[in-house]
Amino acid sequence: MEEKVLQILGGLCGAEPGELSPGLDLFEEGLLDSFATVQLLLELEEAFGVSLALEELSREQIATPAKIAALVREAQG
Amino acid sequence: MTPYTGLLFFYILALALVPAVALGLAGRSLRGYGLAFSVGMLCILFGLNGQLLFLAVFAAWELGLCGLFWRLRRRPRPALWVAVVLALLPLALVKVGEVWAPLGFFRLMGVSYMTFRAVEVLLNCYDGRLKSLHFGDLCYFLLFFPAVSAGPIDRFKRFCGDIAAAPGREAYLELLRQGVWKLAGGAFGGILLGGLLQAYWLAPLPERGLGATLSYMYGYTLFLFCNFAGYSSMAIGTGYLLGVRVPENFRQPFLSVDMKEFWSRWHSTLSTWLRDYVYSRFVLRSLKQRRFRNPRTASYLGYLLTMLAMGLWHGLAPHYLAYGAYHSALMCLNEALDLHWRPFKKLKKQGAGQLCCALVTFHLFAFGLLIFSGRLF
Amino acid sequence: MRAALRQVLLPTLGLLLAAALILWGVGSALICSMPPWRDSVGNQNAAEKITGCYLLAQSATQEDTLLLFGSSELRTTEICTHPANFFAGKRAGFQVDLIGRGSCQSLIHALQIAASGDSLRGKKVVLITSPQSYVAGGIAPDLFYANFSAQQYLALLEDDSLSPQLKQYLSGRVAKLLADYAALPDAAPVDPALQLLAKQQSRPSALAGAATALLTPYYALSGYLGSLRDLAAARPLLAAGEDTAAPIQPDPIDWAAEEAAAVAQAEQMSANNEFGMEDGYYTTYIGDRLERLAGRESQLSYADSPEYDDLRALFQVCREKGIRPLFIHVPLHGQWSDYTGFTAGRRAQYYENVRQIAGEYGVQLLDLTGYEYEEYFLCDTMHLGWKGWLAVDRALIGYYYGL
Repeated sequence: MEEKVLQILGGLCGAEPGELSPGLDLFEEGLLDSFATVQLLLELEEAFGVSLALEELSREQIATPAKIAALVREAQG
Repeated sequence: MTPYTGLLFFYILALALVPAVALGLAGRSLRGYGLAFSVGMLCILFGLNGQLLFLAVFAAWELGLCGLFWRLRRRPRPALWVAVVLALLPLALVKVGEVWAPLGFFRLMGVSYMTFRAVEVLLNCYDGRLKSLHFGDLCYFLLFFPAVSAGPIDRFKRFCGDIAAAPGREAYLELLRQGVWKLAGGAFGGILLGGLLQAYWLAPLPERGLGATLSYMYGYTLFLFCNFAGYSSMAIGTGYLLGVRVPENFRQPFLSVDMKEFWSRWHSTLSTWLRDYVYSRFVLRSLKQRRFRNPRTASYLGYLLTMLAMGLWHGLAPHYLAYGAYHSALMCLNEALDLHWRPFKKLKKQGAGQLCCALVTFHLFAFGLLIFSGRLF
Repeated sequence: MRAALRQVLLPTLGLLLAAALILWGVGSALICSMPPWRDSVGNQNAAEKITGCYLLAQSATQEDTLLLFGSSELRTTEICTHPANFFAGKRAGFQVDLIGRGSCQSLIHALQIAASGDSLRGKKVVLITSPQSYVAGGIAPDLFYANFSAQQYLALLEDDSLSPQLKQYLSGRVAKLLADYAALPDAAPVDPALQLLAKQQSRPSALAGAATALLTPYYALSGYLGSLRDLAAARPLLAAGEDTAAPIQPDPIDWAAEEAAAVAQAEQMSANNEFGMEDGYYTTYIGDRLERLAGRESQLSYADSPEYDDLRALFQVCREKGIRPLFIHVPLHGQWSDYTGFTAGRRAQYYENVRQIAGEYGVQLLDLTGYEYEEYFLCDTMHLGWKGWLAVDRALIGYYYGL
């Protein structure tokens, strides 16, 4: 799961391989902006079939790849 | 009487908060008293302003709208649009009244903030994010007194989570401790520093002249920061005393290295509200429906839309519109730099470049506030 | 729990204590560093003397100062017989302290004297009211508010030597005028707690009583802050003032020569009209409009006005403060009033009304109403002029020395 999330994020942020790690703060590093966040939502929907609310994609809940993975897992039930 | 201004307000506030503190320290729920406190304070405040009737009509309107919309089982998209437009109607009336005398009688303090809270509830209903809609909670959220006049703009689900259960003695003690400091700090910044800046920097400045305008730009920026952040802090502190963790509104905005970051630090409850409910929704639908060949077009247009909405939200006077347009342009420029100028990202991260970016951002914003102040035209 | 409570309680108490200490420190520092009363301040028509308490209390402690409460007539300091000029250098052995400006009507003086504590007890005080105060509406709400002082009102409520009836009357007037003022379109914000207090003092109700009881600490604090502002405002005035040494043996005054000098100045200052009015006033307010003003006041009447009850309250305040004032009854301009249609009969009715009230309270009266047609007695349509002030000056000396 985390693997896949990292892969999606890598594609979205145009980050170098190895630059991303599960505990990295995406906003501190300036990797995820508002547009990328919306794209992330779409990609997660496509990849995992989960529907997340926009507000849940606000900073605190998706600050790190690990948190995103947790969120997806929760949505999958 | 104006909120968070004058001895009388603070005296009444302190008196009215005593039972809340007692309840909180006893480990009891603050929901009931908080609602009573809010309604009572609003009655005093709006009764003295002569706007109590308008407030009652407004509250009935927005609450009725939310209740009605909640009951619509299948909520078709056009219904959402109708509901949102109707919810925005009182705000529009007040804003038009500000520039058009025949409607000028309709004035309502805090209408901008209360309306946004109602619209958020409508959108939540539409998205199916709410499992239930408790009328008392909705009332309390819409009329939450501490943030009624100048924000911060809280979120319904978050708010309901705070008031659902009693915070517990230990947690309330911590809230109380932080709340008191926030109140005191806010009073220091908003009233004392803001007042001093107003009296000794802004007030003595001559009306015209390049030097004076430049000085006004700096002075007004500092003044507005002290004033607004101070008042936000007092509202947050009061909220804490009622057991509600009202979100922060300012996080050292002048350390920002670009405008995008700036808006996440300055009046951030408004900008995140606009980001979530205007920008993101617009971009999401655009991407889903493939409205534009280049997906980034949606982002540019989204920023344009969001910042214009922000300008409009302040009022319909030309300087507010110009303020919105100015920030639209800056956000698009910011987006373009992020995308097409590779060194920008590095520049923002290190020493001298970072300092430079912060200085430029500050000046860009200060100039924006100069437009906002209406001094230019 | 206890430790945590200490974490909250101590800082909160600390904050409050610090605020209280700062306030107290500022107050003490101000009081300790206040310059003493200066004679020259007596000659100034400063607003701080009207809306505060400190300057009046200081002036009242002076052995050789005569307090004179008036209104717009005090402004005419270009006239040589005006008390500030006539008594310059304490030529008659005392200094006058002029208190008042335009629209300081009976109610304003009543509130101020009522708020003076014991400082005026047994002092000699001169009162002047202007005829135009007795219009049908009495004092206008905006003019009242411009001269009203919350500090004074709060102080007089605390004064146990004043009768409840008097406090009730004053409170009723304050409540009504504050409410009328607040309803004006461009009114400044009026303290709602003060309005509530005035209402409760004049017509008590259980609800307002409970509210004002809850607000007691607020009133105390706002009174204290008012006194700090009063001190801060009085400071520069006192600092810039000077003292005058009284002559050991005052020269006797040659009244005939004084009158000749007054008339000479009057002739020179009132050259552009036939009413003996000061040129500037005449040009500004009459001049080209002379013909249109004929008969303009044919409906004017001073027969009925809340001002009469305010005058009664002023005399009552003096009585309760042990003050035996000298009241100066100023005439209207006879020739001018005839011209505008404010007839002698209606004027006489006003004179008589005031005379009667003064009689009711046994107030010593300097009745100048017989000088309506005396040339140069007034300097315009209603304010004391060259000869009028001279008559007043003479009466002041008599009153001061108890002659």
